[in-house]
Amino acid sequence: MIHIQNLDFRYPRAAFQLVINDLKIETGEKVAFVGPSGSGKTTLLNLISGITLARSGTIEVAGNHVGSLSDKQRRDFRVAKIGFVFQRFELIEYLNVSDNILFPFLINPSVDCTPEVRHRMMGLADTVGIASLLKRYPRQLSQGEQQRVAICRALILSPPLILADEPTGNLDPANKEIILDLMLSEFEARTRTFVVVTHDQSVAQKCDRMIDFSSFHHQLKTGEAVS
Amino acid sequence: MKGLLYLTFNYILYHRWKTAVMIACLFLTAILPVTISGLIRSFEKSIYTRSEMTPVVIGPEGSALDLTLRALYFNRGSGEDRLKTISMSEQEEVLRDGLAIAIPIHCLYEAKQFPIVATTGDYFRFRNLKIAQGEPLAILGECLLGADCAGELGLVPGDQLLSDRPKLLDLAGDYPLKMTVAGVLAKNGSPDDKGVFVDLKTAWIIQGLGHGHQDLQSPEQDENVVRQDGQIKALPSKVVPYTEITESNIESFHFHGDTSSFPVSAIIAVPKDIKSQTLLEARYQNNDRGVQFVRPVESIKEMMSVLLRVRQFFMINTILIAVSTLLLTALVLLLSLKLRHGERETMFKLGCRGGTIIALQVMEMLIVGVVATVLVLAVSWFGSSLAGSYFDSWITRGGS
Repeated sequence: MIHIQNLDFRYPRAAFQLVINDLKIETGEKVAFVGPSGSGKTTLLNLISGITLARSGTIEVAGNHVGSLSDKQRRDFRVAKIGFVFQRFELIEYLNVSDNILFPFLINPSVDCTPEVRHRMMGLADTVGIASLLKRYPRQLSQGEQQRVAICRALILSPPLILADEPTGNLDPANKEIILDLMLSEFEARTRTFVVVTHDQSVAQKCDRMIDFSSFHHQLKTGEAVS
Repeated sequence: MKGLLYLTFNYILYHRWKTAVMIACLFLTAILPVTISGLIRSFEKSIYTRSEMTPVVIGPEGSALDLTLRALYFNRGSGEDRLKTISMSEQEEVLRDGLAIAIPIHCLYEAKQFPIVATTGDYFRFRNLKIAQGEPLAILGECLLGADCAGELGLVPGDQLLSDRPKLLDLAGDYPLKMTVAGVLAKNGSPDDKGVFVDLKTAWIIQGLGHGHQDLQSPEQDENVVRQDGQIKALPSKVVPYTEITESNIESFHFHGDTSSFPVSAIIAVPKDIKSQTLLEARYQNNDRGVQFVRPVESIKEMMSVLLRVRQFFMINTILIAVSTLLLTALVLLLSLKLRHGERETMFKLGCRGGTIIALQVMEMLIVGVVATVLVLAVSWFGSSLAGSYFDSWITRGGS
């Protein structure tokens, strides 16, 4: 699913540098990026999704060389291949739950919001237990409910890759456990590749593999992933 | 595009109060200058149209503007000027050598606060006034009502209308006259719509220059005569003048003196051509009859130049307010953009192109701008459409 080779990335006028010689994440694999803040975990998610571009090296995701795609192709690639789950949920405050789940369709003319999509949305909402909240606005939801909406939004386009950036970081322990189990079961059921950035060891331990950025504060090299 | 519109409307509905405040700011900033410009345009159009249709007015010396407003808008004015008149014989002066058509206008009294306009049949032809209901003026004591006047008073042909008493507490003053409505004029969007048109003689009766009463020449009325000195009979207080002209008493109405010396407020002169107008004007230069020759357009231009100077000061003030409001609106938008940074980031990450994000925010601004503009235009249009008749009646009432 993901194959990174000879990656060398640094931010302009910053000491930070991320170097990866060779990293593979297989289809259906659940991988956790762990390590201290500023160690490059979120940067790597951005590089994988094409939000940020590396100056050298190649990143291949689901058969696409991210660096060689045009802007439009990268946007289409993100729409078609990647579902995002964010720490702060990033729901749109002025849209109700159903519109938030369908948000990718509202902002991307390349995908049509067909009746089948709406049916799928209803199914997803039902699965994660928010079917009765579809007309509510984010401010009317608990944090756990908001993250469930974000999970539905990530899954609505049925992407083969899910990137989650500290998805349980804003949740209380009870909700964290529920949401994590929900995400993993949903992704497993749909055989999706799941990459999660987390500071939480309990989250990381539920993944198939953990890549620890802590010993490579400025530099991560291939093969130094743990477990 | 459909998705963008959907998002925009949802944003606007969710932030309805913020949006309403922004619309209100833009609306309030624009409404005054736009409406006032519209009103002034409407006023200019209304007042110029009428003055351009009235080439010359001849009337008593004094303010040319007052004379113009009296002859064109039946403005009774205030103070002593309102009583200034010229002699009816001035009509002959205008008509002499066939230089112009002369239409006398006598406008001193009111009926239910609508101006009583005494004139001749030429006036109706000159202003192209048509009768919508009833008949034209035929006998003494009849009146023709302008459309607005008839509408507001709820009068139809056959009804009666009493002239207002000019001085309420002056018992020896003029008596009000009960007039019969002969007809109602078709609406023509001018001050004529608010006029109560009567024959000159009817106005002179209201003024007390003519009257009717019991026939004191008949032998059976001798008991009513208090004292007689030749042809002059002194009447007791129980013999009062008639306050209504009817078929039975119309014969008793008469005027004391030569009607050519009776007063009129002004004479509208319609010269045959420019040469006739110039000759007519020459005739009124340095006359010693206390009469002036006025071109209404010039009087109105003079008045409008003052008004436009006032408008310029107003507009400068408005521009300053508009600039400050626009700057504040821009600040609100910038803060809004900053607040929505997270939303833009999310949209970008989810595959939305930068142009779409900008288009979304531009669309919101456009909707706010369009709604404010539509509101401004609607209110301004409504104000301007009301203004025409309001200005006419305002001028007619003498600006009060």
